[in-house]
Amino acid sequence: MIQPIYNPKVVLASRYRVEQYLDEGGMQQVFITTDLTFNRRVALKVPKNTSAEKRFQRSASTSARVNHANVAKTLDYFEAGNKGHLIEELIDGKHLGDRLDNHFEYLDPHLAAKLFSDLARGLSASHHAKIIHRDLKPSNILISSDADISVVKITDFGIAKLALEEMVGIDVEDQNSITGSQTVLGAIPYMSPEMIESAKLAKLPADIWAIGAILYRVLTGDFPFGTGLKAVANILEAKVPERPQIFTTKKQFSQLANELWEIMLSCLRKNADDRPTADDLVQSCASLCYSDAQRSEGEVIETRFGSQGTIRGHDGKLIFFHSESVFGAFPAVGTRVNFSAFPGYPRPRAFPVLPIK
Amino acid sequence: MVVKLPFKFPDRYSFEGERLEGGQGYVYICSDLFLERKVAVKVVSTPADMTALRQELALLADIRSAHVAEIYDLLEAQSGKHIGLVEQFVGGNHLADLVGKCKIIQFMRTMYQLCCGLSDIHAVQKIHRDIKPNNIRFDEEGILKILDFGISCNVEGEGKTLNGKGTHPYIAPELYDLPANYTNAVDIYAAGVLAYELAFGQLEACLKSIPPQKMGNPKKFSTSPLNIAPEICDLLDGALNPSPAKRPKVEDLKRAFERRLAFGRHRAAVTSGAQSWILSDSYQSLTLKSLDCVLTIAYDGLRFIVTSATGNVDVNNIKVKVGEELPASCVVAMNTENGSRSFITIDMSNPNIIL
Repeated sequence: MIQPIYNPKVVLASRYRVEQYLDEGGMQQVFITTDLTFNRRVALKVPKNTSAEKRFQRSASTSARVNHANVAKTLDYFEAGNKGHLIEELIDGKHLGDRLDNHFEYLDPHLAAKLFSDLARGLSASHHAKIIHRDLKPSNILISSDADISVVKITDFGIAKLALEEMVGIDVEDQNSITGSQTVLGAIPYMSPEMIESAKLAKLPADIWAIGAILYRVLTGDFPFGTGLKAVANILEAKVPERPQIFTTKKQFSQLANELWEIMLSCLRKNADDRPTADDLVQSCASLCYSDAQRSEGEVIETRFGSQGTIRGHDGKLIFFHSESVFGAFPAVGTRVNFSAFPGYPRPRAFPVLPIK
Repeated sequence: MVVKLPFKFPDRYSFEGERLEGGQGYVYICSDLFLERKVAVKVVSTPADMTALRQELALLADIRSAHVAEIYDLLEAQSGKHIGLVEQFVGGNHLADLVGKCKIIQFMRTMYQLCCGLSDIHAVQKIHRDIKPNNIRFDEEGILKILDFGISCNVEGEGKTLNGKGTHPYIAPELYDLPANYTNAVDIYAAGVLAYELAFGQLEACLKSIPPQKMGNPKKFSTSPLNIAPEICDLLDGALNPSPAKRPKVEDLKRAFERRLAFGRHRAAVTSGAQSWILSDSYQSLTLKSLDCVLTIAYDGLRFIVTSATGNVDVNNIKVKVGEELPASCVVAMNTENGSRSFITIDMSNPNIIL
């Protein structure tokens, strides 16, 4: 059972009123709070245990040094009750990890390209500021809850360092000590080989490896090297995962899908020096072409000939779709989908169509 | 001269002597000791209606934009005479430094980012009211940030602000009429003047007169040495229109800049059965045939257009029209005389705009 540090209505620093408990990470709890000065909703982060407190401020100022649209904004920091408190902008939505668990199975190449471009830009801004994240994983990527994922922000810079310090001294052979730490377990699938060998070796390319692994997860719904301790051996080997069949069978997607795949492979090179820099990734993303048409969600309400069907949008409008435009198996009636609609007669036509949970 | 603070700031904000002139008074550059970063504290006299100011600030603090400086804190002097607004410090180049040496690519990127910022501001029904080169600065990453919103307070120091209406010559002509007609078109006018300064290196007399454009009209943007694309010129000429209703909306400006910045980098994936092609700058035109049906589509660097069509051809089940731009995603149906139909899907995609 999670025991929230604060109850609703508590006012901190005469400025922030706690509204509700939001989430918990390895080192901290997150609350939705109201900033009474500007009457806006903000996120409050509080370290969970006393050992992390001193380093919490350092990590707060690390985050505060990066100013970029794809990095969560640090708004304030204060101490109350001997604990550091970090105020960050609040995103309407949870994190990518939560969305992958509960909403999307995976993303179609267009949505994945959008997400990855945003990540590359946010990462490049932090690397320019000489800040290594060290703990990039879906739960550290905040995304808005809209169908477009219009807002993508990296968070918890420097918190990573805390996690790392906690990790040092953990016996990798000891299952209990590993599973005892949420942070470590959640981070393993995205950890680079050099980081596993020695946490101190993690430099900028470790972040590149991590967003490569995230891209794999986002494109396939799967972990590139598995999860838990089994992943460790696969990562050390840097064994290249196999390209999913759908990348070649769906002609409308194959060019973009394969370009993303190549970028992903370049991030997952075993030798850290062989990986692209964040700036290289921003450049690669610039040459990607993807549809940024507005997305919405709906449900498949009928299918015909096993190759076409009708989607009812959340606004009640009916939209035609063809199996070629579906990134995934042909969806059965009742399947929920994420899509863009384009003008057509008698009905608008959907592309791409992404089955969701 | 040693610069003194107008009132004592909390210890957290350490002032080291750097003071700038803002649109509505002085701005003091301080170090935020808690987060170890620089902040800009804009000091103004306490307005008569503090409640209204708080509401206004709440609105400003809520703007989500990559191109608007963040607001962090509000300081109130014990004397009750001043308030200080703590904002994100933006430390890169000033936009004013670009005037007179702006290249076309800088012009396009700058105006595009300005339009993005204005679009975010206008999206929450807010008007900036004081768009001018001095209020726009680039951050360390080269991202344009709009600073210093005109807030409804009294002016401290020697700001040239006209009763909070903006700064001459960026003040729209209609604001000289009484009562002043305040719409977000005043920001579009100011952006137009700013674009003019960047495009021509200076402002001409008719734009500097008070009120502007009574004694003649400014040059067309198409005559700028920067060689600006025609569709952008038309919109910017419109931005300077003395009639606010005739100025373009910021969304239209933003889209036009976005498209032009992506010139030659769009792609269209064309799929017909097992065959597929990619139309792009290096493969600009494609002719599709099925018995008596022929369709030619071409990429002109900005759009994919139907350049010729014969026979019974539909695009998304609507009869094709020559010269028309294709929808961003469509199915072409070729209905041949012998009754057979064949389908081609065309999906367009856009490149990232790198800033």
